[in-house]
Amino acid sequence: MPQYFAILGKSDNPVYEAEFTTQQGQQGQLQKGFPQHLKELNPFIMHASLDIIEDLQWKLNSNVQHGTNNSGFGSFLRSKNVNVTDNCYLGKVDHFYGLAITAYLTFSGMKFVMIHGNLDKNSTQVDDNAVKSFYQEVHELYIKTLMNPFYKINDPITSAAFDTRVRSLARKYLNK
Amino acid sequence: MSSKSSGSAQLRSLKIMGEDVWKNRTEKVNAELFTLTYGSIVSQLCIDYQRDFQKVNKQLFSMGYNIGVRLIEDFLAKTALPRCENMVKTSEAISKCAFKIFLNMTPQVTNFSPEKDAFSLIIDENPLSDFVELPMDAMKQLWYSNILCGVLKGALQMVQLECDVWFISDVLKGDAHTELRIKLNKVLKDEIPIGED
Amino acid sequence: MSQRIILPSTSDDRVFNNSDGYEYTIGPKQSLPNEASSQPTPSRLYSESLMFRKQEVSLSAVTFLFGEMIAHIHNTSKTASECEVKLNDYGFVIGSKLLELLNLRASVPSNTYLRSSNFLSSSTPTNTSANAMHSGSNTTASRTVSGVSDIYYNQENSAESLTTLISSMRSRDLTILDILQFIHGTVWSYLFGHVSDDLVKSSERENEYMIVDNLPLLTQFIPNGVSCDFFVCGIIQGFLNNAEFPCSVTPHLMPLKGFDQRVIYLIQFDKHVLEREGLRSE
Repeated sequence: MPQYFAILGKSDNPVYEAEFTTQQGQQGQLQKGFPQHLKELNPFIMHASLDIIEDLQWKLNSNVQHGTNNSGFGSFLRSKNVNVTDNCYLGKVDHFYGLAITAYLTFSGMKFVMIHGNLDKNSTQVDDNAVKSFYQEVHELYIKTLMNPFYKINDPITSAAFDTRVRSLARKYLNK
Repeated sequence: MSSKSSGSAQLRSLKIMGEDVWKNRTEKVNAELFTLTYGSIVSQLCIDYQRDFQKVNKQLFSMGYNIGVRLIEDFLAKTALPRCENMVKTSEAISKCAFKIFLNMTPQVTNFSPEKDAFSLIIDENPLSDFVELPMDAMKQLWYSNILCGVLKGALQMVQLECDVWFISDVLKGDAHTELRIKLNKVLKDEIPIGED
Repeated sequence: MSQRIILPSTSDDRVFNNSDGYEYTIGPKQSLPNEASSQPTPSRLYSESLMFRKQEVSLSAVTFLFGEMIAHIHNTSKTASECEVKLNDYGFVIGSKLLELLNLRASVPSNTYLRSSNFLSSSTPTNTSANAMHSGSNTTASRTVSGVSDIYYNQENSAESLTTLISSMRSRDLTILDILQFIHGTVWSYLFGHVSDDLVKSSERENEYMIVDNLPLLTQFIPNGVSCDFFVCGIIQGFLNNAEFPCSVTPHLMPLKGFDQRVIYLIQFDKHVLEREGLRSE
């Protein structure tokens, strides 16, 4: 299944975007990407989930106050198996006609958002552990970018090195 | 000039002295504070001078020069080094004492000219340039760590050594090493003796 | 290959450079089938480790550099307040980077990381008021300085990616108190080698907090240097603003017996920060 991944800045401006596709067949001839009409919709689908993300952004740690009996706590869409003490990885936050949307927040509130396409089955299962690892490693790459004195926060990340590393992480965690 | 054996003994003692001053008589701070502050300065200069990197180089050099002329007093007070009689000695004092005491590193001294009036410092662990990736347009012209040239120029001038100091290569530009060149032009007259009683 | 669909309305030359990276005027790029075998583009920046290497330089190197920075700002500013704003900006950039960096490092489990934090206290034996928060780090400091360096060197080489050591990221700080504690403890230790001397809430105004430093590291050699502390204000402000706690920070000289240069950093949060906190804590 393909994914659309984006990093959004402070004013929801795109800082980085990529589409990850899977290959099938021996020679990797058959690429599975989003169909054209979805490609164009992806940024809109993603933006529609931002309100939910911003709401979750300021949710105080729920398991401290509510115990374990209420794992859903106000965020009915969040995937059940997301550890609530980790408030960077938000898990699945939204869905759109069978597409799942997951999100991750960095410490400075940069939004990492991903749309998980689904081409094979009717429902998209998100592997939270893999997705979380992917986000965390991209987060570290982002921090390295940020450490460069010539990079200003919110600028688009145009580095080819960043791009190839993100894509290889996607292969490692998302499209094994 | 001096005999070989006493020369190498002196070099060894320079090393020991540098390490001693660093270990016991230097107040230390996190190197990353230094790195971040310098990064903030360079990137701001690039904006101030509208990405005219020649001007940025020049400004960094002159900031370094100002530091150098003041830093030498601090250096001589800490080490009480006598005057170096030749550039070989000077090079060792710079590498094993000065760099050690201020930045906790000892650049390798190499590539002496046949006349022994010019040499290179190989700065492989440069704390200034950690986490730096030069933007495309700065690749050709900007010498990111140019402040070091200014510091050396200023400090050497205060001990009557009129030198040219410049970078030959930089790992940030894709070179294998960061190499800084120092060339002695002339020894100034002893108008105000410094570092001597 | 890429056809320029939209001509960017920017004077930034980098747009026109051919790079294989993300091109924001074109949009997301598909990964290509042949990329599966490709190696990551070589880059120094991305192969450096973010692991704290506990390297040190001399205080004089830092203060010389800081002094030159002040001099440059002085020469290019017309008024004192312009100076302060510029100095604040220099710090702001640093604060916004530290927010991400120090939180990431704090996410590494303490047993892998414990030792490296010790060095910070070793260089400042004077500030023994340091306290419960970092207890333990003071006592073992002296003997670890040289001893563990090899261990860390090895680890650093293997840890191009810190996240492999992290199971869960540190929680983002959501309340004023949490994030100020982090600045008081972790950020101050990182920058100055000791936790700040006090963290106080104003009794008069709801939105005001104070961080106290008895001996400001950077400005201690600058006579009447309190206006130079705007640099540190910038760091605090950059840290808080980027964590979405907008505020203004100003330095105030408040000498105390034995501490002539004692500075109080006054943090005034925007009203909506308090409103948000009021809504969320219900």
